[in-house]
Amino acid sequence: MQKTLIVTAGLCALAFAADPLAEARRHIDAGRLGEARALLDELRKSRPADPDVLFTGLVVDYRQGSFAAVLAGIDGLAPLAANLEARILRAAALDALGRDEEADAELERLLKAPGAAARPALHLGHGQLLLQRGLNQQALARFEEACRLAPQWAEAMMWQGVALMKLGRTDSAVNAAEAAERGAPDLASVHSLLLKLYRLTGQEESAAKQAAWLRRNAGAGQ
Amino acid sequence: MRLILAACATVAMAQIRFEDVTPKSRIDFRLNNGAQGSLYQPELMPGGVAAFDFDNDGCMDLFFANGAGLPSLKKTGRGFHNRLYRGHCDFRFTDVTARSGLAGEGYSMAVAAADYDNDGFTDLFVAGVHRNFLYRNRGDGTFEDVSARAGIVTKDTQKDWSISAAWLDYDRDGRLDLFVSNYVHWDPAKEAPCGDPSHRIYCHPKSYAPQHHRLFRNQGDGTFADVSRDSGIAASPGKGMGVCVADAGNDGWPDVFVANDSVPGQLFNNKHGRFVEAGLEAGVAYPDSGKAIAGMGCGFRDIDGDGRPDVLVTGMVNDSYLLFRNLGRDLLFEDFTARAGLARSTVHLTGWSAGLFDFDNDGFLDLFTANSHFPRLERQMGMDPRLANSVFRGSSGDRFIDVSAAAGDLLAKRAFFRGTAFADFDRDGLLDAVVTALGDRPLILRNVSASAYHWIALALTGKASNRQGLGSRVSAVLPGGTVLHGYLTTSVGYASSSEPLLRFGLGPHSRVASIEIQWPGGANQKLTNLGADQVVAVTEP
Repeated sequence: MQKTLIVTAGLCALAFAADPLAEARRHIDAGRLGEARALLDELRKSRPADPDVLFTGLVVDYRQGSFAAVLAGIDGLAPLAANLEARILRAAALDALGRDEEADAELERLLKAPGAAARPALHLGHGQLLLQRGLNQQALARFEEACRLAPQWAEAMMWQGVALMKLGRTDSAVNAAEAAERGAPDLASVHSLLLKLYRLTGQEESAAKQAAWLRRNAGAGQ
Repeated sequence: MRLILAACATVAMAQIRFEDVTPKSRIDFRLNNGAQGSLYQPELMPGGVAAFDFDNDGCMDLFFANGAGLPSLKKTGRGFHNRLYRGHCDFRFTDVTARSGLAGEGYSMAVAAADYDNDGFTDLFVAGVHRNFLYRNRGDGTFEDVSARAGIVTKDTQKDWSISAAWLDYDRDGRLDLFVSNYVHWDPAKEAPCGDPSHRIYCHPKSYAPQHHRLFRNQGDGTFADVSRDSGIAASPGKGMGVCVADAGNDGWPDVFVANDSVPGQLFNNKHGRFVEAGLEAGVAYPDSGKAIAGMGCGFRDIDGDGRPDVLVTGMVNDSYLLFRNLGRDLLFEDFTARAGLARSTVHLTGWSAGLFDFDNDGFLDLFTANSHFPRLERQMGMDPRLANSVFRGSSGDRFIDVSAAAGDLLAKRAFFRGTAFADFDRDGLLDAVVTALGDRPLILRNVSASAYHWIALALTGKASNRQGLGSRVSAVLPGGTVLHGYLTTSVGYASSSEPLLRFGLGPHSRVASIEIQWPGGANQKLTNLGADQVVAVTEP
C-alpha cells in the first residue's frame, strides 16, 4: 500500500477547480516529479504566496520522501495551516515518520472541523492510512463515506474494492471495482484490482482480458 | 502506557544482533562505480557479492564485483578490479585475486556462484554492462575465462546490461542453466541530462527502453545455448534488477521472479521447460494500489510455513517493501504487505538487496535489507541519502517487526548499500552478512544474536541432479510436528549470491524428527532423527 496515494486523493479533490496548477498536478500524478518541480519553481516567482502553489510543492516534497520538510512547510505557513488538504498531508507525513498518535489526532481534529466531514478526499486519505496499518474494516468505512460523498469518484470506488477484497468480501469488491472501471476506464490501478478479483473468484476469462489490457497499456515498454 | 509497553515488547524480542567486524576482516576492497560527475546510469547499480567456497576448504570465501571507468567501461586500474578473498573461518580474509585470475574486465555488476559443470568446484558468472563473464573454477585456486567458448558472450549479448543472475536447472536435466536479468538499453553517447540544470540528478528508468532477460541452457559439454526466445523468456522485456528462484506452484519446476525497476514485477512460470510470464495473473506485478514500484531486490521463500514460497520485493521511498503471500492455488498471490507490518515500517526506506533467513534460529524467517536512497537526491530528499541497513524479525510467520535499533552495529554505518551475501563465516550456526556499498568498503557483519535456539543445515551433493542440489525442496519435521520448508538456491536479494546450504532454525528443538528432500532430478529422500547444530552432508540416492 503506498503512502503516496493519500496525496493523490488530495490532488483529485483540488483538480475539480480549473487552475494553472493542473499541469504540475498531472505531472505529479504521473510520477514526473522533476517536471512538476520545475513548473512549480516557475510559478512561485509570480505567485510566491499562493497557497495552492505552496501546497503542491509540498506534495512533491512528500512524494520524494521529505516528510520533515512537509511538516515544516505546513506548520510554517499560515495560509496552509487552515487548508484541509494540507492538513491531510501533514497527517500523512506524521504517519510516515512513525508518529502514529499525532497522525491519528490530526485526522480526528480534521474530521471535526466545520465542513470537513463532507470532504471525500479526507475520508479517502484517512482510509488509506488505516489500510496501511492493516485496519481494513475501519478503512472500508472511510472509503464508503468517500464514495457516498462523491459517487462518481472512481478512485474512491477502487479503494473501496481493495478494502472489501482484503476483508474477503470478493463479490462486493468486484462490484465496486467494476463501478470504478465504468467511471475511469483508463485507470490502470482499477484494471489491476479487477484482475486480482477475477482470479480470486475464478473468472479466468475476465481476468485474462484485464491482463491483456494491462500488458497493452501499462507494460514495461509503456 | 501503550507506548511503554510496546517499547518493552520490542526489546524483549530483539534477539538479532550484528557486530561490525570489517576492520578485523582485512578486506580492503572498495566498490568503485567510476562516478566522475557525469551521472551515467550504471553508476547507481553495482555491486554484487558472492559468499562461496572456491577451494573446498570448508571456509566461506568472498567475491566482489566492481565497476569500471566511464564511459569507457574499462577497468583502467587496480581500483576497478573485481576481488576474491579466501576466508579463514574466523572473519579474516586473504586477497587472492591476483592468483585467481578474477580481476576481470569491463564494468561488473553482479555475481552468481554455482558448480555449473558438476566437477565439484564452484564457478562464477559475473554480470556487467555490455559484457558478461563465465569463469570456470579449475580447482587449483585459479579460474579460467570461458565466456566466449561457453557461448555466454555472443553478438546478441553485446548490448545487454545485466544486473543480476541466477543458476537453476530449469529443464531438470541435471545441469545448471543460467537466468540473466537484464535492465535497459543504455548508450553512454546518448545519456541525456536530467534534473535541474543547476543540480543534475540521475535519470529515471523511464528514460530508457527495457531489455529482455536471457536464459542459457547448459548443454553438458561446457557450452550453453541461448534459449531466451525458444523458452519464452525473451517475449517479456522488463527493467530487471534482482532475480529469485523457487518452485511457486510446487510442481517440481523452478519458477523465476524478477524485480523490475518502475515497471511491473515478473513471474516466469516454468511449464515443463517453457516459461510463461504470469506476474499480472499471479498478482505479483503490482501491489494492491495498482502502481508499479521501483523494484530492486527480491526474496522468494516460504514465510508463513505453508510450504509455498512467498515473494518479497524491496523498493524506493514511498513504495514500501512488498510482500506477496502465495495462496497456493492456481499460482495466485495476495498483497500481504500491510498485514505483515511492512507497509509502514519500510515506506521511508529505499532498499536494494534483501535476505529472508532465520537469523536468530527461532524457526521464523527474518528479513535483512541493504538500504540507501539514490545519490544526488540530497536536495530533493532534504536528508542524507545514505542509510543504515535494516533487520525485521519474523514473528509467528506472518509479521515482521523492525528490530534494527536493537541489532547492535547494524545502524552504526550509513552508506549507499547495495548487494548482500549471507553465509555462516565462523561456523557458529548463526548466519552472517556482507554488504557492499558504493564508494566504500563492504560492511562485514558477524551475527552475534544471543540465541539459545538450535539449527541444522544441509549440504547436498547431487548425482542425477546437479552437483550442488540447487532446486531441491526440503521439508524438516520438528518433534512437535511443525514443518519447516526450504528451497535451495544461491541467488539472493540483489546482484548477489549466498552459501549453497539449506539452513533451518529449529527454535528450542535439539533434534529434527525427519527431513524429506525432493531432488530436482525427481528422487525423494527421507532422513530421520537428526541431531541439531550441525551441517549434515547428504548425497542424492
